[in-house]
Amino acid sequence: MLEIKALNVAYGRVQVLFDVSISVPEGELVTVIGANGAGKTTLLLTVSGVLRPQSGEISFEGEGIDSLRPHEIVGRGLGHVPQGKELFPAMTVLENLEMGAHMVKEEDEYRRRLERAFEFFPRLSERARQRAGTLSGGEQQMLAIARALMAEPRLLLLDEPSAGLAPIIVDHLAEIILDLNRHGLTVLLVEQNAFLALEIARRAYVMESGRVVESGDTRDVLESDLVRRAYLGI
Amino acid sequence: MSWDVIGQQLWNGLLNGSIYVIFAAGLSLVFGVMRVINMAHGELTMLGAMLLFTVTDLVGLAYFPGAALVVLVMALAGFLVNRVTVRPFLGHSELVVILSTVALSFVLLNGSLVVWGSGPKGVEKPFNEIVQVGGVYITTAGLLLVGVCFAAVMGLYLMLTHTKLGKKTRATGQNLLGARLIGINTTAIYDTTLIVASGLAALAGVLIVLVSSATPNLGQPLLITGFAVVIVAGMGNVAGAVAVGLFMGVTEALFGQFVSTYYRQGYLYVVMIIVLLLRPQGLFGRK
Repeated sequence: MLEIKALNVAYGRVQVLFDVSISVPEGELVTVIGANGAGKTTLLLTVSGVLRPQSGEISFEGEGIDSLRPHEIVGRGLGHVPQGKELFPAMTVLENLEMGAHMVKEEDEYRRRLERAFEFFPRLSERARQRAGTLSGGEQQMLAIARALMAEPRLLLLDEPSAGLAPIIVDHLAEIILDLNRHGLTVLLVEQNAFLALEIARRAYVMESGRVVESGDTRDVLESDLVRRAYLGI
Repeated sequence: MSWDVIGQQLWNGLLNGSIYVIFAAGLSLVFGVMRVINMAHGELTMLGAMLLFTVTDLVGLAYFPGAALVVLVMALAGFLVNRVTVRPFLGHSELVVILSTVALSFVLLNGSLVVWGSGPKGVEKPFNEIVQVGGVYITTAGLLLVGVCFAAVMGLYLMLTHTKLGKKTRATGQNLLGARLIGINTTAIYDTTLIVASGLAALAGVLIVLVSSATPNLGQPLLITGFAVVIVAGMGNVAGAVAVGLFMGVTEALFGQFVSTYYRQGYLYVVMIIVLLLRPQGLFGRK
């Protein structure tokens, strides 16, 4: 569904990604793990069209998207929950969700999507009239995911959803991500928290200093010396 | 002191304050949505006034169709302001955008001096009866000015809070990356923001001529006052700019009457400095 081939990305003269190739088949939950600064966020921002690659190809459902602008890429069915959530803090939870579905014209369709979002995240319906900026960290993360889902993407990019959250909330989030995947959503999950990522993903890529250094079935990646040493501490 | 004098100054303050409100609302909108300080906002108002003089006095249009035409043309010019002086410089230091709009301001000001000369130009008003209310003299043209200002600001408020375009505009102002990642075309939002702001600036210009005359030099002092209003209200807070614009207009008039005409504009800046010392984020701003 998403094919990234030999991607090179630079900020000015500093190159951040080197020949990164990643494949996300339809219906799967693929993870990219790596330390801070490995280039994971850069990778996702390039897929979304916020950053422009120096070279390489990105195709989504068989069509090249590397020259499209972010709103066109979202329009193709690709959602992105960024690191740091990037909510609209002075707007209510409801308004944030409404913005997520801004391309929906029919009121009935909007209602249906809203109900679905509240089914996945009942907590958000309790907080509907509250300003997004006043939510707890876990609730903000849920709102960020729910906002992206309002566009009904077929592929969701998730950037460090566990960052800064209590372990119990991370577990809850992991369940939600798995549940979304079971409902047919393809997911590319970027994580520093290797435990979480490797627990729920089928395929994994390991990034280091802008390069993919390991990839394969999650079980194989778990077994590799590199990952055991660097991320799991065993 | 007599009540008539106070009443007269309240009315004069309301006239000035209404202009401050509509001027500062546009300035604040651009900053709130784009984080851009538009140093050419005053010149857009000036152009509104000068163009109205041209289309009424030289071309012969009546006030209302002339004003509508000028506001429409200036709104469309807002698109060019964005594409030529703002958008190419976004992503660089904020100082670069400030300088490019300063450059635009100089070009417009000096160009206008060449075209129209520096003398004041009067514009034929649609009606101009003087009504006496109590001991206060009120002009019907002034009433029109106040009414249109409030209708315009109300319209802006309703657009921002109740339309999808307005909500997308606020969302873009609150989080640009967040807006882009949910598929809002933020380039179009920036275009629209400067179109609306430029239209509001020109509207201030065509209203100013109802109570005074058009001159190429009217933009600069207005920009200075506009900044005082926007900073006291809290940068980017449009609703706050409305309240502070009115307050500044009225208290400035009273200050001019009872304290010193000479230090009238200084008064606004003293208020600004006091507010900044006590509440650096402005009266209605958030940290």
